[in-house]
Amino acid sequence: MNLMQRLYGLAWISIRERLHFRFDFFMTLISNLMFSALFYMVWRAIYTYSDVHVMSWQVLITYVMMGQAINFSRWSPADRAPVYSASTRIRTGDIALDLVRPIDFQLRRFTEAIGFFSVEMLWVNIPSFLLFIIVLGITPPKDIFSAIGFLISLLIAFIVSFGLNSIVMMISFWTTNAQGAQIAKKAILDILSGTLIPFDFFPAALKAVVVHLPFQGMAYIPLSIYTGKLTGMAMVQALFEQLGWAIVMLMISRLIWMQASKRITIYGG
Amino acid sequence: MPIIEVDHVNKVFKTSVRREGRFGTFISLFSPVTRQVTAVEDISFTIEKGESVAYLGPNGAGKSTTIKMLTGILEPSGGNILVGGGKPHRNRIHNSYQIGVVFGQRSQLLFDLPVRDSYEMLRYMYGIPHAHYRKNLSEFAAVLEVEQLLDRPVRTLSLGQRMRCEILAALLHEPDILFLDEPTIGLDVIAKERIRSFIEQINREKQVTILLTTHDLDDIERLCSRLMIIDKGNLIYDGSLGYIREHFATERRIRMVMPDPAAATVTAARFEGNADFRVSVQEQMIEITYDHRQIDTSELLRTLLSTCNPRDLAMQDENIEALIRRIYQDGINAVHQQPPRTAGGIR
Repeated sequence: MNLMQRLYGLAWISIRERLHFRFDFFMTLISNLMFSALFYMVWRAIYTYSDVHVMSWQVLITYVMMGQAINFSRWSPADRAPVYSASTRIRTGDIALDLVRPIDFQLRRFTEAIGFFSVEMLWVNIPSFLLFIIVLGITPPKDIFSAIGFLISLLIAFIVSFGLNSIVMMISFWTTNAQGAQIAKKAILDILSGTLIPFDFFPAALKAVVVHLPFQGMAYIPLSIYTGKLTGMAMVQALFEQLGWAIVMLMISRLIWMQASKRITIYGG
Repeated sequence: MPIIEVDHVNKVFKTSVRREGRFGTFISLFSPVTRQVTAVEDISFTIEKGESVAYLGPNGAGKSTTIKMLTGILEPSGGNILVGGGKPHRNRIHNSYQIGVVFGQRSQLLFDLPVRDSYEMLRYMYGIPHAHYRKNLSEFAAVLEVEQLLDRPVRTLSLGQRMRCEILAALLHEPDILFLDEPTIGLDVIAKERIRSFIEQINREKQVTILLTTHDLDDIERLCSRLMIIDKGNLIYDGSLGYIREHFATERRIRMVMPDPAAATVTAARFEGNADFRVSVQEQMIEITYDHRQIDTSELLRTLLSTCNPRDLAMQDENIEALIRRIYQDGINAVHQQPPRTAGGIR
């Protein structure tokens, strides 16, 4: 068995593990739809009582609803893989068992996250997406390039999210509790990734800042590709920028993990 | 070459201590005070391939710390550890292929999935070839009698069933060394026995080296030819259980039931004056405790039987558990009255 086969097998086990909680997914789907309805009504109200429209209603609602369909800031099961399970293992000391395994701890968490993410896609994100198209009449991708670009961007967004979540998780090494950091992360992401409000509504100064932060890789870039705001070279450039952030986030989390694992072997966790 | 070599190893932890006073907690947040705690002071031993060794000691003596250093989870603060020729914490991944670990208090199985899925996970983790995996699984499952459990979710298993599944999990990748940290804790007699006979079998047939920590002396008697006792971070004994029994368990106890215990009390009084000679009477039962090196047992018995007429008589040697307790409490020197002559003995 080579490493890829082994990682693939581990991801499959995590899929099985995740599929065990069908009710959990059902509830996630419902809460997802409730929040979507809420944001739909908020934006409806804004557009009804305001004359200044930064973008057309159709583009806006497609952007916002797709943002809910692929929401990376929500406390989702896909988040739980690297953050929740890892911090639990650290707190209970079960991490000792992970350290006597031949697969690197972070790599194992990554396969777990991929497994959970796949199931989440299947049970929550794709059903939400289809519902939005049918019920709310949001626009499908403009052409095949936007569709492919969006899918690639979505995968990179997953990696950026994994990197960020790993960093948040490592905080539990020093605090033995990741809850606070987790809540702060969620709030920051809602605003700075552009999930709830497209950057185009931001004041110019804030917009200049957020387009140089990693968080845009989790919503603004994939959503802008989907809505056709980024096409051609601009899209390719955005994808590379996103990929760059994915690598940076992974490297930072790797450095923190190495520090943390050194701490375990010296201080016993 | 020994499979495990531990050479003057120590392990010191730093723990943070809260400052005293009203603002102590607050100040400590910014400038923590640390204190050094020595978990393992100075330990040296070697274990040969195929040996079966028990590692014993009171809670907090440093047993788990030693196991964690041998498995590569912890790095020793000083000294050298070689497992299978390599340093476990330096090359953790290499080490993980040659060791199997069972922590009695932790589970390596996936809680919500059927047992089989956990084994599948381990198959991918260790990259076990399919043929080996199938052979090992069916062979071990048969011996451990867990075939019927394989499709049941782990959370529905009893502790004994789960522990058998855990041991199977630790052996799928055919490790050379098996570390068992209290594998029989909380199990009933039958479950303990099943686990013991399995461990004994893999040690004998597959030459798997066993290092076992336990509080259960029956485990040791059944499984381990060699016993190491650690206390306060130091190895205080390394030898056989038989040696301890022979040289340390010097106390004997005779119990007799008779209509008139007073007569025996008079007879027994002849032997008084010896250290450790005690007589106690409880209704019709008399109990005599003595040191068998100071009083000849046959002489004592002959004298007793010639003067009294017991309905029943029983002899006991010292409870080994009580003896180990005494070793923990008073140190080995208090228990040990003769210097050892054979190999092993006191460190």
